[in-house]
Amino acid sequence: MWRKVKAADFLKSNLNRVFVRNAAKTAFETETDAGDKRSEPVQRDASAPSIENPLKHKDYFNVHKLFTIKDLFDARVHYGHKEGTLNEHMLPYIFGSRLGVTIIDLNQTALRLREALNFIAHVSFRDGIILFINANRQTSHIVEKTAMECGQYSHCRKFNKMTFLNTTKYFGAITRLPDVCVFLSTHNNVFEEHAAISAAACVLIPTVAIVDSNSDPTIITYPIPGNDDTPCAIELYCKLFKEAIILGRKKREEMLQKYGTIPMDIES
Amino acid sequence: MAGSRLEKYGTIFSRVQGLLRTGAMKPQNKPLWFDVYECFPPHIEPKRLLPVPDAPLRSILYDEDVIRAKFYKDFGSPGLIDLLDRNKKCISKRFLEKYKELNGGLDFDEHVYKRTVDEINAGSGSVKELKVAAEREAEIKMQEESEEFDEK
Repeated sequence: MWRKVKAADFLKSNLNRVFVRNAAKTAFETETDAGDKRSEPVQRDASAPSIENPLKHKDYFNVHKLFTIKDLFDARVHYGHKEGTLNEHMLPYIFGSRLGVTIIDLNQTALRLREALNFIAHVSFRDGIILFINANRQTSHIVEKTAMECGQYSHCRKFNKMTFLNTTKYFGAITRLPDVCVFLSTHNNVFEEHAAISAAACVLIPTVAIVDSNSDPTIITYPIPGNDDTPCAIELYCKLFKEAIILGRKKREEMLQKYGTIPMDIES
Repeated sequence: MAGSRLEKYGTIFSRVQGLLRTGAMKPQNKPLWFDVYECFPPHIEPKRLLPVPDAPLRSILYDEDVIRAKFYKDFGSPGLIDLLDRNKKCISKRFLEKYKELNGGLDFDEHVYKRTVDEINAGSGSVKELKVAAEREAEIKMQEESEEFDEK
């Protein structure tokens, strides 16, 4: 056991920009650890005060209050690309084409964004690792700053598929992968699909992504139609993701202080 | 991690569900997001092989577009139009307001168009003056901006 912990410390000190955090938590290697942690709510005393289960609420973290459609409009989220570059799978999210430029339907953006923010807040509530991914150099600094501010991780450099698919070899130790990947843009720097999207799907990591009119939304778990090129739009998304993460974490801390445990299953 | 890596077939959820059902993955080892996904599933299954949606791409056009186009064709554009400035109305907007006043609606009518031009010419300012004023505004704005830039 101590060797694993050592490896974790080693990685922590050497790869702090990468998302590796806690090797001891890896699923199949340390079954006992994970088992102990997850079975907490089941073991608790029946006479203890009943805890509200966030999974039973429609919007436990109140993420719908974080933004309005007017905010999206002001941040120029509705601008898509030229009609010719449109991905067919994006058609249901498109309001129409104004003189050859596609315009994204903000009603749908708001729905999907709220769905995604709720998911992120829940993962944050469960102490999950959230990894922000963005290959657009113009907006990378915003994304990296956001990740730092909310105590999560970012990957805004050249992405190697082995980062997800062959971790033990790539990092030299057992690695905990992120629990959600948030893509601020689904393209790499030559307008191909970002390699991390299919890699994340391979290793069972859900993805949240801003999909512009020229992106492929099919394999993304929670796609959010919206402009992914304008810095002010990226700033808005980053702000919202950050707030959702902080909301989730705050609720977690509150609950831990009050009850000493948090409900992890639907039934509890 | 145990699990099929065929991301093209099935979603991440269906693949984990399969592992749990067969016992290849123990319930205590299920991913952290699994319950959240179950309670709040995405509106469309995230699968690669989805059928192409049958939704039309309509063009966004308004009645006033015809009037606007004719206005700019006849009188030209003053040049710089600041789309971020919500307080100022551009010249075509001011023209359209007059047009709407006379016509009631914004459907194109050659006679009403001519009448609007005449009314504006007869009233406080002619269409050309409107244009000149707009040009001056744009020039002043540009100058201010370049001065600001120089100061920086």
